[in-house]
Parts: sequence; C-alpha cells; structure tokens
Amino acid sequence: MSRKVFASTVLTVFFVLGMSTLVFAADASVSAAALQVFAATVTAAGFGIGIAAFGTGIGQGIAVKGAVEGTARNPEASGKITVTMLIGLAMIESLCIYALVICLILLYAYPMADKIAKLIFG
Amino acid sequence: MNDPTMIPPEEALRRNLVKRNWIILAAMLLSSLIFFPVSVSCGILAGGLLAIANFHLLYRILRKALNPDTPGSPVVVVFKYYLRLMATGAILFILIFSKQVNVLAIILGLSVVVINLGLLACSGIKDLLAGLLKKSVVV
Repeated sequence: MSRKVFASTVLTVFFVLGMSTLVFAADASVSAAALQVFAATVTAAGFGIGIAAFGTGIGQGIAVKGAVEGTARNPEASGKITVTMLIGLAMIESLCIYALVICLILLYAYPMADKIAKLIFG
Repeated sequence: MNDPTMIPPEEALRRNLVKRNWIILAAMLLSSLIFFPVSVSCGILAGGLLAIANFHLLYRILRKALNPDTPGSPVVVVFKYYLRLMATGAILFILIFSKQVNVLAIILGLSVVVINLGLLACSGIKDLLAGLLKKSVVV
C-alpha cells in the first residue's frame, strides 16, 4: 500500500468520524430543542389554568359578595339577584372552562405531540 | 301582580334563556350535521349539553344558596358547587383524552351559553337604542 493510499484512507476515516460527530451533535441539539418545546408546553398549560382559576375566583367572589349583600338588604329581591348573578357567573365560569379545555388540549391532544416525541425518543 | 299564576319577570327571563340555549344548540348541531363530519357534530353536542347542564345546575345551586325562605347548609352548597366543577373537568378530560370528538367543536359547543348571553346583550342594546331614538323623536 503506497503512502498516498494510506494517507487518503486515514483522512477519509477522520472525515467520516468527524462528520458523524457533527451529525450526532445536531441530532442531540434537535432533541434538546424538542424537549424544551415539550417543557414549555407543559409549563404553559399549568400557568394557563392557574391564571384562569385566579381570575375566575376573584370575579366570582366579587359577584357573590355583591349578591349576598343585596339579598341581605332586600330579601324580596333575591329572585332577581339570583337570575342576574346566574348570568354573570355563567359568563365568568365559561372563561375558566375555556382555559381548562385549552390546557387539556396542550397536555393531551397537542397536534405536534407525535412529532416532538419522535424527535426526543427517535 | 299578586296573581299567583303570573310568572315573575326574572323567572321569565331565565326560562327564555334556557329555551334559547336549546334553540342555539339545535341550530349549531343541524348546521354541523350538514356541513361537517360526525366528529364535529359529536363535539358540539357534547360541549353544548355540558354547558346547558352546567347552567341548569348553577341555577339550582344559587337558588338554594340565596333563597332566604329555604336556607341550605353552606357546606352542602359548596360541596355541590365543587362536585359540579369536578364533574365538568372529568367529562372534558375524557372527551379530549379519547380524541373521539373534535376539540374545536367542543369549544364551540361550550360557547352555547356565551353566545346566548351575547345575543341577549345585543337585543338589550338594540332596545335601549330604540328607546333613546323614540325619545329624541318625541322631543
């Protein structure tokens, strides 16, 4: 085997090994990015329902406070107050239910979930 | 006014809301059956029934909680309230996790009550504007 052939073989081996390292590094960075997207999705779902529940709690608390005070001052108006509060509470609660649905979609029916899992686990 | 057979205006409003909830759900269901696949219709039906049941149960709980003639135990009221919320969450979880129905259709179905209240607000604004217009014409 001549020197030239030997040198070219060694260079080829180094080149192939070097390229495979790069490919593995790129693969690792892709799976790391996918893992980051997954972590961000789960965090967003948690924070989303937390913020929604916080706002709903404050809104419903204020509504119920007003209704109870109104009923205590004027018990005869309890029917009117109940229906008005029903409308308000239904509106407020629907917002929290929407947030819950979005969070459940993010956790269990995320459209990109399969692709992300494929990128992470191969 | 003292006629016992006469329905109070707030009760009439609630009955009207309940009736319109069913009408809106039926209209959405019919249009989805015509234009979209069955999974969309199932989602709208499930979401709409959940929203209407929630509305009905919320009224029952509030009526018991705020009626001074028949005061219920606060513990029972709170327990029922949280039971309703947990049942709603569990049903939504099952619906979304099973992936048998369209999730966007579930959101649309859940909007039945919101759409109804929005329409009610629009009709109220229309009446208000009509009244103002009539007043300005008279003046």
